[in-house]
Amino acid sequence: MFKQKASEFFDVSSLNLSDVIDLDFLQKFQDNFAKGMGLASVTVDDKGNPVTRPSCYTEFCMNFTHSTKIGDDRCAESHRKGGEEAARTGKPAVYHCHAGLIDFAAPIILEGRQLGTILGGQILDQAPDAERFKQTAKEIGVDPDKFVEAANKIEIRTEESIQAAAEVLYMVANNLSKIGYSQYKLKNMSNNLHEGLTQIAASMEQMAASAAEVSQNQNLLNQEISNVQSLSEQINEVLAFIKQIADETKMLGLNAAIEAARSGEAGRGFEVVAQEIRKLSDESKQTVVKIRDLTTHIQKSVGKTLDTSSSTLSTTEQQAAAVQEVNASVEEIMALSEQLNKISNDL
Amino acid sequence: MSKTKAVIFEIGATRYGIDIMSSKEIIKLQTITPIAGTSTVIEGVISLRDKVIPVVRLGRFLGISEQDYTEDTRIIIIEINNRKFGLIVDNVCEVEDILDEEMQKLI
Repeated sequence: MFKQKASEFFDVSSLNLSDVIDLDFLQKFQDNFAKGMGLASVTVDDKGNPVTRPSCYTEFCMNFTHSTKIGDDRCAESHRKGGEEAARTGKPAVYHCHAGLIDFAAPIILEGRQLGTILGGQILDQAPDAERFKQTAKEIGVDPDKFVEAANKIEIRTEESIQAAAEVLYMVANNLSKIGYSQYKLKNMSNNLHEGLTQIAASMEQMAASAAEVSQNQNLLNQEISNVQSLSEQINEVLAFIKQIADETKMLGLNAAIEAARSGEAGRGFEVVAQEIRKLSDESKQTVVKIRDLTTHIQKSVGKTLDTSSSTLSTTEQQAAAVQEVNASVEEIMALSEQLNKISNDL
Repeated sequence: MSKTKAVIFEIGATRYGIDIMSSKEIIKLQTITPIAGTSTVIEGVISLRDKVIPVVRLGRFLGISEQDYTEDTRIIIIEINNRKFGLIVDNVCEVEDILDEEMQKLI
């Protein structure tokens, strides 16, 4: 009935970040946090694809570093390395990107599997070294002066405050995912419950229908039995009639014999006929007896059938009553499961 | 070898025979009209083809058995000395030849 056994229910390896985290909420939180802390942020899934829009990305990164292929590739490489570190330790990692900014990677882990990462930072912990940045600009192919100008606009924070920010994001994201997972599980269970109950209800309906059919057939059977009994009675009437005729035939035969005897020689031939007539009536009476035995037999057998069918009827009536009770229980449980569904949706 | 043809009938559990030459016919039990003033031997009279015939319960008459009427009960009409009587018996079985020798043995 159920599609999966309970133990197979929750395969964490097939979960996506979007299954367990409300991305709208995450986006809002990410945006506000980034604004409040003055750092950039974005969330990616386990393959590195973004699941939120970037919050507060700096001009430096967006318009310069990412604008060339070399730069973009180097950024990707930095992110990857940072992500790996975070994945390895299971904790937020703070690191320097290829362009000299400080970034962090906070892993989102559920039941030992990494669902995604919150990346961010794009700040400096000290004033930028112009020469170094000009060098980088040349390497990645952007205007060095403008590059340095953009670099000077970057926020300066201490490494500690960045660490703290990373920790906050880490805790929030991981808590969200835990809650989301519970909700996901609950919804799943409640759906399965609902499905199972629907199937039970369907089976119950089938049982009720078949019980009704049995009841109907029963009544037809009873009627047929009644017909057989009335037929037997009619047969008995006919038999009585036949017996009467047989008796009268015999008397006829006897009287014929008397006449034949009193007629002397002339009656001799007729004597034989008279005898045959008497034989005929005897045979008829024997047949009547046999038939009567047979009909008595039939009636007894029919009587037994009636008893059996009556007991079957009472059994099916009990079954129908039981089905009703189960139906009532199922309806109660279904009401509860709908409430459960509602709760899981409101979480 | 001489033999007598007889009408065999039953009263109670015993079978009796009456000479067929004395018998006229056999009929089913009919309505018997009791006659007051006759002896208890005569059960009453019946009407057969516009003739009135007295009937006797043979078993009672011979002191053999009381004879309750059943659907097998018959009346054997006999004629003796040009007078007809009806004998009420329990059952008429057959018309048979009885060897005179056999009868001699029983007597």
